[in-house]
Amino acid sequence: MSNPALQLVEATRNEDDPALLARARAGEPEAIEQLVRRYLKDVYAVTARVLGDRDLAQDAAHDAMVNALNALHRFRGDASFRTWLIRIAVNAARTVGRRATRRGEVPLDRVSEHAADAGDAATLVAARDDAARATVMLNQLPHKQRLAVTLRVQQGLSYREIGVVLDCTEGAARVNYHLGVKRLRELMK
Amino acid sequence: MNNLNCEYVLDVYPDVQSGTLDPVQARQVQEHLASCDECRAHAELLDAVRDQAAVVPAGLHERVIRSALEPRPRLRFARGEIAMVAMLAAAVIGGSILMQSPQPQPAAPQESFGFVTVEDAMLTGKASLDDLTVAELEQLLKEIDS
Repeated sequence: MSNPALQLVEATRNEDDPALLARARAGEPEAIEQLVRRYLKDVYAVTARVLGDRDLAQDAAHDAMVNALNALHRFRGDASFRTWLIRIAVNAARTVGRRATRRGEVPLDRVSEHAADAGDAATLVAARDDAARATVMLNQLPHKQRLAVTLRVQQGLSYREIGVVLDCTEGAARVNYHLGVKRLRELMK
Repeated sequence: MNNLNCEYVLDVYPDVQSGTLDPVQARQVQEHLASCDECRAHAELLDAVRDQAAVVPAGLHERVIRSALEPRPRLRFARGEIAMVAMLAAAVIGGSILMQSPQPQPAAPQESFGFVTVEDAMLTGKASLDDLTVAELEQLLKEIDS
């Protein structure tokens, strides 16, 4: 005889977003937990890319997910839920970054380079393989280019979706991506 | 090298990485990469970026779930307090209308790079994103965003 609890876990794991969102809006704890397990990885990847600081990125990811879950009634479905969530993550990261700057923890123009720069002569030396170097160099790019490359390559967003997240046109999102890749290639040489 | 242009390959390579590109097109992209050094270098770079996606720190899932499931306090105001807040808001809005500053002057137009605009050049098929330099791409961004 199958376990009803396991059946529920399996059902929510395979559940598509509209059904899961409806249950989360109704306040079902299992649905809320499932949304967190499904999307926190994407949210954290974005806040880490914006901030370049692990502790700040965790705070921003936490705030983004909690705010989004408390505002599910505002999600209209114009874009995918994931795109909507990533946009909230970018805004949360900026807020956390500004707060850290006001507290004097990290200068704003250095927030995203903090981890890539300082201490991290050691990081750079250690980052001999291309993958780790690419991450360090990616943090050197201007904000929109850095995000356009990250959202396209790591999150697989379309240019239209990137435009929604970055609040720019689809064309500008595409140009930011191309510019980011070219600059990254120059930095890696 | 096949018929695909390098700009298209760079555009769609992330879809090859994620396995979402049509299999026929994905094969054509791989064929192009086999014979184009520039695109292969870009593809290797994008593979490196993809490989370094951040890992969620231990404990963050549980911290978020705990916060999300906490009951939210409901703010309650007495009727008198609501009326006072409304009056204060009206006073602030009225005061800000009286003190409004003049509209700022528009910025001077940006210099272009020898085309009417860079975007016009692309529309006439004279250039692709791949042919544009970093400076030209920046100019194009300014034109798109203006």
